[in-house]
Amino acid sequence: MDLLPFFTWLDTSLLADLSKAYGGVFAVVQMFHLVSLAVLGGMVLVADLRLLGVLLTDVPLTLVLRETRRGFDLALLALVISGVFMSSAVAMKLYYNQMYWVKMIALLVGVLFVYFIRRPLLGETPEQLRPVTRHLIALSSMTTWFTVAASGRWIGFS
Amino acid sequence: MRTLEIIAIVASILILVAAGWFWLEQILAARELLEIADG
Repeated sequence: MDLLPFFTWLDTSLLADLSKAYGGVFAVVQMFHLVSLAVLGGMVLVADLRLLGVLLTDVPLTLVLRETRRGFDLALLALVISGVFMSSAVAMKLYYNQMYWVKMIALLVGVLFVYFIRRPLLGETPEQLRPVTRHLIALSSMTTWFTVAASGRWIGFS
Repeated sequence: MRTLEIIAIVASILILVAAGWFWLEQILAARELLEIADG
């Protein structure tokens, strides 16, 4: 599937005009993007380190997972919205940037993993899962979101 | 073991292998570049 027409459209859209013309607006949106990434990373770390039995071991696992869910959802939503805005400013540059696609693939994998595998599995009784399953889920989750964040920062240097 | 648990295990292993491979490749490429730069 060739996404070039979409990026060409994004590059000439009203969103692109806004993001290119007003540097201050772009900076504020970028700030929201980075803060959202920090919140998402925090939620992932707290939940996954609890799954690994490293952090908050005196707090019930179900409680930690439940409390980190909302923050994760909101941060992801803010990340996607601010990300689309930021992408519009450099749409054509991003289309030809390898790290951008690494980030997008990692993001897609992360979202599918969270909403179709991790949550349905951990939603009911996570304590009953085998420790090896819990540990694998936590490690792969942290790896995926680390890749999203690191490749995202890498875009700026490539 | 439930089907979803098996899917989770397989998906997790695939993610870890793919990400590990990718980052290892990047580290090796960076090391190669450093060696070239050092002469």
